[in-house]
Amino acid sequence: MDVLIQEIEREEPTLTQVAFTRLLEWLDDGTDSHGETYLEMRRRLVAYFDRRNRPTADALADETFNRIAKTLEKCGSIATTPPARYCYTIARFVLLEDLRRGRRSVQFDEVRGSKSIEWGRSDAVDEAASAHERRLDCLDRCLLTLKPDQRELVVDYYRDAQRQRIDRRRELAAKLGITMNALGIRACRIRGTLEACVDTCCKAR
Amino acid sequence: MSVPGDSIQDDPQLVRYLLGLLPEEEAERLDEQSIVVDEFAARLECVENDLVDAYVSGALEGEILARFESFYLASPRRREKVRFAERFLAAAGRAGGVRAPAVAPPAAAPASEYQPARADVGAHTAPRWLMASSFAAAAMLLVTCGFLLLQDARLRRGLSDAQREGAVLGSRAQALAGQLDDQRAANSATMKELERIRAAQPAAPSASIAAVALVLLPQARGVGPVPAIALEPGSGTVAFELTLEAADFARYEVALKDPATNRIVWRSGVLAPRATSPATIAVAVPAGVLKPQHYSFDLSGRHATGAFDIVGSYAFQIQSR
Repeated sequence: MDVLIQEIEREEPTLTQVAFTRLLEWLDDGTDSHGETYLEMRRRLVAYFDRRNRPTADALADETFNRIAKTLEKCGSIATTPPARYCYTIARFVLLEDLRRGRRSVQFDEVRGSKSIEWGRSDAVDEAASAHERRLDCLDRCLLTLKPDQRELVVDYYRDAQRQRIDRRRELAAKLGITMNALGIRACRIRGTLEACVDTCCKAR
Repeated sequence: MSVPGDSIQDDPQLVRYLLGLLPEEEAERLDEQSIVVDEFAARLECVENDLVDAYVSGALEGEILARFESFYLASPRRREKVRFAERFLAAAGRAGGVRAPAVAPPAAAPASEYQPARADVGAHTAPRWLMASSFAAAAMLLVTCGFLLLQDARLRRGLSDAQREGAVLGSRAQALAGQLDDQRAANSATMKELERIRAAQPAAPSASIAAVALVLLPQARGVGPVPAIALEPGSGTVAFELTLEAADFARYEVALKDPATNRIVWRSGVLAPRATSPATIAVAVPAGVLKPQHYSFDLSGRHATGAFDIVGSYAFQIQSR
């Protein structure tokens, strides 16, 4: 039922090819990132909604983009710069609306949640083990898709525990001739790519 | 969670933000930065990864641990991040030859849906990517060794060829040096012979040899009278100085022509321009070839290839006295 309410209250999710292309151009703000800016912004929006504990963070990020695309379609341009700031403004409205909807549907969610826990507990354990295997397999596959130097860096960066890890990171940064901060960001990016790859792989299987 | 230099300790505010512990106003400010400011977004991601890794390796304690379990693990997406970290750190640990990180005890998991990975799953085998990488590395090593052996043989061949060529060049250089010595000796003999001839010649009036009789400018259309010079009886040579429009060549040659017949009556040797401004060419013409009439000099510049280009013409007149 709550899903129905959300479907009704949410903006029309469909986005025409023209509108989507226009959205990409607007996000690129004069450069051509080949969609990279869109993907990065979507990732940030999803993380934002998720930090605010919204259960449908992906859908809310898409809704934010839909609203921006419609504004671009109607007005031709958006004066607010940079585009990321406007994205945040719209995302905040989307969040507040979703919070209001959430309050109305919270009881149903709780009931549904408790039922799903009681239902078929042993089946759920088997499913979890199977999913775990799938994820391990995906991780192996995705690690192989990284460039050798990226794989080496990300493994070296994260391989040790505690104090050894700090020493190793310091050595790595010195070896690459970059600061610890730059190394951290580089390793994070690679890990983010890996994480996204595993996510896509698991959904596809 | 007491790792010095770790981003968790470096950014306690970000940790509190990720765990929902900041006041709303401050949290909104960071929300905006997490979307608008690239550097902040990247830093936040790093801190989040480190926070999750610290949980997975059992390094979180006290309030932070409690909050992580009650708040952070409430989201399926964030639970998935923790699962990913467990698998990833285990794989990285195995690749690095260290123990897999300790997974947080199941009792610590707050959310009913969260089940930490079993420590034995996948821990007994090396990750497939690592095995594949090892095979690839071995194959690469074989190929590299083969390539290096070939390269070594090629370099050795190249070295001996170079040594042979060096020997040939050395002997050629020796031969050239010999030729140069012969040439120097011949020049020296020529110079001596010249000195001898000069000494044997009767003393001529030095002024008629050395004096510049006439400075000539390049011929142009519509110019006025042709420069004239009257020869003194008994003159040995007559000196001319030809002014150059541009010193485009290092070597020149002059031909004295009879304009009535267009016949060359005398030709100079190779001449070098004088470094004056403007540059000039000095020519000494034997007085015997000159008669009272009009003449012209054709000045040619010599290319490095030996070919000549006519670069100017200088007209003058010899008058009888």
